[in-house]
This record gives sequence, structure tokens and C-alpha cells, in this order.
Amino acid sequence: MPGRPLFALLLLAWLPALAAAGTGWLSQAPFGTAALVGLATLGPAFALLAILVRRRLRIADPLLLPLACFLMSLGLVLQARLAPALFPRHLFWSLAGVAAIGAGALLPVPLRLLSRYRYTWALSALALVALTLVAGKEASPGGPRLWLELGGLSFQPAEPLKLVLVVFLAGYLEDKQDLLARGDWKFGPLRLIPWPYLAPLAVMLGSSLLLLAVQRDLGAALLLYGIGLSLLYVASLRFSYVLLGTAAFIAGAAQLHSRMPVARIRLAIWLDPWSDAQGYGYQLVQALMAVAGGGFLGSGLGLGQPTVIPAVHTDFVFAAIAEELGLAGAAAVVLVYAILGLRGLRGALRATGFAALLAAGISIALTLQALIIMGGVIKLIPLTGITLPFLSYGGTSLITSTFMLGLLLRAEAER
Amino acid sequence: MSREAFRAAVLGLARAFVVAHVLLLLTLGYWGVVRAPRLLQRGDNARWQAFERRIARGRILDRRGQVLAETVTEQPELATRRYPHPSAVHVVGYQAWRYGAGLSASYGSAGAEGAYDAALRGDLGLGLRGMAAARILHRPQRGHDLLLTIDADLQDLAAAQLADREGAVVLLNVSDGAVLAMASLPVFDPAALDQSPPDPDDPRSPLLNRATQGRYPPGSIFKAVTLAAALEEGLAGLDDQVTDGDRAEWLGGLEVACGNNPPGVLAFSLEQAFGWSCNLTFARLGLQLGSERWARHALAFGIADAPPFPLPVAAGSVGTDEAPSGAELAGASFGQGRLLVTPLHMALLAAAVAGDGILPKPYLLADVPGVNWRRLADDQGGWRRALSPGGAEQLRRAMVWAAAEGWARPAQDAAGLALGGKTGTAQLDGNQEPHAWFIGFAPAERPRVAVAVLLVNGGEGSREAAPVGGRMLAAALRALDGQPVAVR
Repeated sequence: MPGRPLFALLLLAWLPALAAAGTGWLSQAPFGTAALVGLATLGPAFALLAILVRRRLRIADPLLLPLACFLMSLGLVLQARLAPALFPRHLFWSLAGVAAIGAGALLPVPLRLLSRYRYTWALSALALVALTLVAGKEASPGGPRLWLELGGLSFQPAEPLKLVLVVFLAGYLEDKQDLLARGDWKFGPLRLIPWPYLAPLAVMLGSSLLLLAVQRDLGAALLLYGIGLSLLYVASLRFSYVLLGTAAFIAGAAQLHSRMPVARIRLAIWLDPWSDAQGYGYQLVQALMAVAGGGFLGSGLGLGQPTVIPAVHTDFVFAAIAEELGLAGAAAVVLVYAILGLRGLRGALRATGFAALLAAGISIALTLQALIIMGGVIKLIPLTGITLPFLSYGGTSLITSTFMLGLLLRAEAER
Repeated sequence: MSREAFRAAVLGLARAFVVAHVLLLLTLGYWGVVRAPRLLQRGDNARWQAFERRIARGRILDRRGQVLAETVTEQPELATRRYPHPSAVHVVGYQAWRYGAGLSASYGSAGAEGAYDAALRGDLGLGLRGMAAARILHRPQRGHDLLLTIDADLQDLAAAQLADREGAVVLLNVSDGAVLAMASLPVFDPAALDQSPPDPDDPRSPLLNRATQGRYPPGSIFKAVTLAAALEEGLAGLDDQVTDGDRAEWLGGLEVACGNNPPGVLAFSLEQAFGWSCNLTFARLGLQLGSERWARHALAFGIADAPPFPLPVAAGSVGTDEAPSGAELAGASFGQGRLLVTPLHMALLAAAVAGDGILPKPYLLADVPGVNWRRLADDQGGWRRALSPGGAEQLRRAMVWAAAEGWARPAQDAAGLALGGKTGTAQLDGNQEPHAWFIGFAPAERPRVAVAVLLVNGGEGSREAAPVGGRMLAAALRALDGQPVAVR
């Protein structure tokens, strides 16, 4: 892996956040010092990681680390501005995230081990999610119970479930790919594989979705479903699975719509947030006004009013970017996610076997998650609460995303 | 799984990613550009307000520098607008965040706050560097102070004179049309509009500036117009004798009596008929003039037009078809019928008579210190000619007689100096109290100030409106000479 461009790119990726923090510091904004201190620790951490990765991995995509560095540096500055009280925690989790990239990329354990114990991972992740149903903590009174609390640290099991699902599907589909591609079982006009082979997959995906639906974590459910469907398509190159999956999704969504008030409200708000702008539609309307308020170059960090949006430091951080850094800043973030996803897929093409499917799965997971929440915040699709990878506040989300990025880095190298 | 198949699938996925991100960018552009103007104007969008609140808005001062409106910052980021002179609210106006439906500068504004918003915000004379400092470096914009022509003491006096009666006072500088006072009652609290917006169905309609937007029948003060028309047309002279004292005549289908002459005085000059406000004389003059000529002179006084003024102004009307005839003309000639005027119209009439026959252009803005402000200054000078200089001189003579010997005498008594005036008592349908009017100028020789006073349903003009007008004129002269205005 070539060294010089990597470090130059890392520096380049770190600079925009530095500029934002620096102007904040110069104008004596309250977040300026904290953001600079954070960047001053995160930058060297990334540099150290780059040195290690370069030494240990024979080949690795030189863009992935800088892309993550761009997003996490920006995330650090945004958290200093949006949630100053939570900033020390976010800084800690960001540094832990850098370590998690290192862990994913460098742990001296072969990737195949992930695949081999996939049933173990799957069952434990499901068990943890199930545990939130009985012992979970709600974010707001009456809200979904998404967190487990242990010794002062809270933990959101739906996040690792996402990774586990990718690992499980990649391992499973790699085992069964010949069967999947042949598809000699006819169902009407569709050619499918014999159902007993599909069963574990359906059970895993189905139970994940069911749990999340019971938990009312619609964002995570949508993400898992998207991951499952996309990976199935990549492994089989059968559009019939996508069609079947979409049909099943519509049926499932209709069920949710009729049984879950939350789903009904979400749909209604998506169709028309304006008529309930002070109630259920408040968050979305405020987010859209934030986008409108930003204009091309934004109000400037610290000078907009994104904090009127509930959950702006987690799910709605994209709206804050659009307001304070403008359409230019928001478009840059969108482009970075696009490049990250495409580079990840490129890695998948260069890898082989399980690693290839794993790389594809991780790219899909990160990209879909970013699309679902960014699209939700700007009313392109119905809003379902989920974090924006690398940018939102949230330890579990950061660690999961960074660990996945580390695995992505290694997938290409390990052939 | 063949590598080609995998490759094809991954490339298909990559295409889907690209499409999804492009859709995202397009949606961003839709909200951030296409829909942005409408979203910014929403009442529940705090952003526009926050931006406006960062502007150090200029003060509004009276002609002597007394504060009429200023922004006080008790806590950082929490600026509030203070209005120390409630009597001036209809001129000073308000700038409210939620109240009103203005689209551009602020959510709602009126009066000078709205009319001179650009100067008060500091947009005016900002220049490129100032613009950059405000927009890019986010330095708070500084607005300019305004110096108005009105005098806070005269405003307070006017409000005190009206007490809690509904009405209006307009006081003009004769030489250039500067508005020295413009009061309208009832008033409202401009600082409380956001917290407690006034009830739109309030029958007292406190937000209405009666001085410029209230339309009322003028009553006998309009005899000045008929007199001017008759003199200008050479139909009559002030010394012509009439014997209308005890008669009533059917004129155009309307029975008209003299009505107001002192008991036992049956024959008098036209000048005295004006001072004693003899209806019969003026109805006959109107019919003699005829519909077309009478209307032409009435329209020359700008009655049917909105006078040029920085604040919203209503046009009056000389009747339904612009040229009344018959009974309507007879009534209009002494100020009844379907005539409608605003107090500003009547003040301009008084100023035209007091000057050389030209209706001045009323203006409010005296100065914007530190700015080349002539561009936004209200145009000064004449609006239009209402009557000839000779006619104006004749009318002055008649009004001075009315104030010295006629029914406008209470004005002169209240003022303690010789002045010119005319009272009016506009009869209304039903059991409503009439509107009390007074127009006048002072001093009697070479007048410097002109006034119009209206008391809505205030009773008799001579008893109610004339003393108010007299005191306002005297106080205005003192104010112009730099002496203190005693507020009673």
C-alpha cells in the first residue's frame, strides 16, 4: 500500500473539519476549543492507524481511511457544536472507533473464522436484541427500548446485529452460491432454490426483522431487510429474489401499517408533515426548514439553529450539516458516502470467496444506512430513525461502523 | 458462482448506489433552493427571526432627538424593541415577529418601522464590504437611526387632548408639509403584539391609523371647499350680503335651513355666513356652481386621491358618482351627504389655505444621520394646487373671522392667540353622536402651522374639537420656536 498519497489524503480529509473548528475558535464560539482539541487527538490517531495498516496489509484501498477520517473529523466538530455536554464521550468513542478500524483490519485472526462461527454470532446477537425487550432502556419515556445498560455504558444491540447479519449472509450465501445460482426449483414463473436450503437464511432474516418490529425499531428493520435483499441479489444474480423480496416487503409493510400506530404515523408524516407541523411532523418540518435556511454555503458552524430539531446530534445530524455548512457541505457528505460505497464494492470485486461477499455486504450496509437516514431527513423516503454512520453521536454505532470499515480494508487484502 | 456473474451483480448494485445518491442530491437542491423561500417564511421557522434579531436595529427619534423606538438588549441575543411614547405608535408603528403577514423584511411591520425598514436594518448604504461582513463573517448588521419630523411632546399633547376618546389629530408645518404630530386614538401596545395580538374583530380597531386611513364625513369644515370654489369662479365675494338667517328652502329636493346663525341675526355677509356656518347659504352656492364645477374644485383639494405619504393612506370620496347633483350636491356643499375624507386630507386643506393655495406633500423623515439619505427621503414640496393664492388669502380672512367672531372662537380662546379656524359637526344617521371636526392654522398672519382635529362621535365641533385644535396650534408654534411644549 503506497504511503505518501495515503498520508496526503488523510491530511486533506482532516482539513475541512479543522477549518470549521478553527473558524469557530477564532470567532470565540463556545465549541471551538473542544473541537480543536478533539481534532488534535483524532488526527494523529488516524495517522498512527495508517502507519500500522500500511505496514501490515499487503494491499488495501488507500481511499477508505481518508474517507472515514473526513466523516469522523467532521462528526467530532459537529458533536462539539451540537451536543457539547456529550462531546467528551463522543471523542472517546471516536478514538475507540479508530482502534476498531485497526482491530477489524489487523486482528491476527483469519476472516474465515467469522464465517465459521456465524450461527454462534447470529444467535448471540439475536439474544441481545431479544434482551432489550425485557431489560431495555428507552431513549424517551414511552419510546422504543433500544438500549441495554451495563455499568454506566449503554449499548444498542441492533447495531452489531447489522454486522452479524452481513457476516451470516455472506458465509451462508458463499456456501450455497452454486445452488442459489442454479435455482432449479420452480415457483410459477420464478426459478428458486429448494426451500430447505433457503430456510436458515429466511429464519435468520425473519427473526431479526420480527424482533426489530416488535421493538418498533423501524429504521434498523428496514436496513436489515435491504442488506438481506441486496446480498441475496449479489450472491445469486437473480432478479427474481429481489422481486420476491420486494413483494414480501410490501406485504410486511402493509401488516406493519395496519398493526403499528408508529408505522402509520411515519407514513402519514412522510406524505404530509405540514398539517401536523407542531406535532408528529415537527421534527421533519424543522429539518426541512434547516435545509432551506442553510442556502448554498450555510449559516456557518454555530450560527444556525439546528438545535431546535429533536435528536439533531444523532439521527438528524444531516440536517445540521445542511443548515450550518450549506448545500455545499451536505453535498460533500453525500458524495463521500457515495465514494465510500463504490470503493467498497470495488474492494468486493477484487476479493474472493467469503471476503468478496463480506466486502459487498459491508458496503451495502454502510451505504444503505446512510441513504435511509439522509433520505428520511430530507423527506425523500419515509423517516425511520437510525444513525448516520461515522457522523452521528452514539458509541455502538461508531464502533460497529468503524469495525466494519476495518473488515472492509482487510477483505481486499486477504485472498 | 462465476466471477462474471458476481461482477455483473456488483456493478448493478453500484449503479443503484449512484442513482440513489443523485436522487438525494436532487432532493437536497429541491428543499435548499426551490422550496427554500417559502420554508423560510413559515411562522414556525425561528431562523429568519434569529437573523433579524441579530441586527442592531436603528432608533427612531423625534425632531428633537427624543427616543420614539429603540432596541434594548437586556441579555445577549435577547433584544427587545421599546416604544416610550404610546401616543406616537401609529406613526412609529411596530415591528413584530409573529404578528402580521409581511413577507420580506420582517413578519409584520407598520408605520415608520415598516416604511423605513431598510434604513433601520442598515441594508441601506451597506456597501459590498458591509454586506460581506454581515453575510460571510456574520458580524451583526448595524442599522441607522432615523430622525422623524414629529415632535414627541406634541404627540403626547395630542393624545392627552383626545383623552380616551376615539379620534385623530394631524399637525403640519405649512411651509414644507412636515408632519409635526399625527395622533390616532385608541392606541395599541406595539411591544406586546407578539404576546397578545389584538382581536381583529375589536370594534374600536386600535390598529387603524385614523389620521390617514379613517374615512369620515367632514361636516361643515367642508364649507371651506365650497367657499373656495365660489370665490375662484367669481360667483361670490366675502362681502356679499345674504339674508338667510330665518329661512328654510327646498334645494334640489332637500329642505335646508341656515341652522347655525346666532339668534336674531338674520342678515350678514358671506364671510359671516362661513363663520356662523350657515348651511342654506352654502347649499345655494353649491347649486349655483353646479355639479361639474363644484366637483372640479373639490377634487382639486385631492379629496378623492390618496395623498403621497410614506405610511398607508386612504383616498376619500366626493360622492358615489364623483359629481353629486341635486339634493346630494346641496348637502355636500355644507359637508353632509356622501362625502368621505381622512383627517390627513383636512389637514392638507388647512395647510393649503394657510399657504398660498398649494397642498403640500406631507412627509415624516427629517434626517438619517450619517447616510446620504435623500434617496429614501419623502419627496418634499408641493403636491398639487388646490386654489389660487388670492383665493387662499380670501379663505384665510374668512377663517380668521370665524375664529375671532364665529363658531371657531373656542379655538382662539384656548390658544390665546389670533388664528384661523373652521369647525364642523358631521351629522350621522340614527342616534349616533355627530363627529366633531376642527381645521385651522396659526398665527392668523403668515401662518406657520395647520391642524385637523377629529373626534369620532365626539359631539359638537365648536365645543369639543375647536379647543383641542387651538391648543395644538399654540403648542406647535412654541415647539417650532424651541420653547417647551406644556403637556396638560
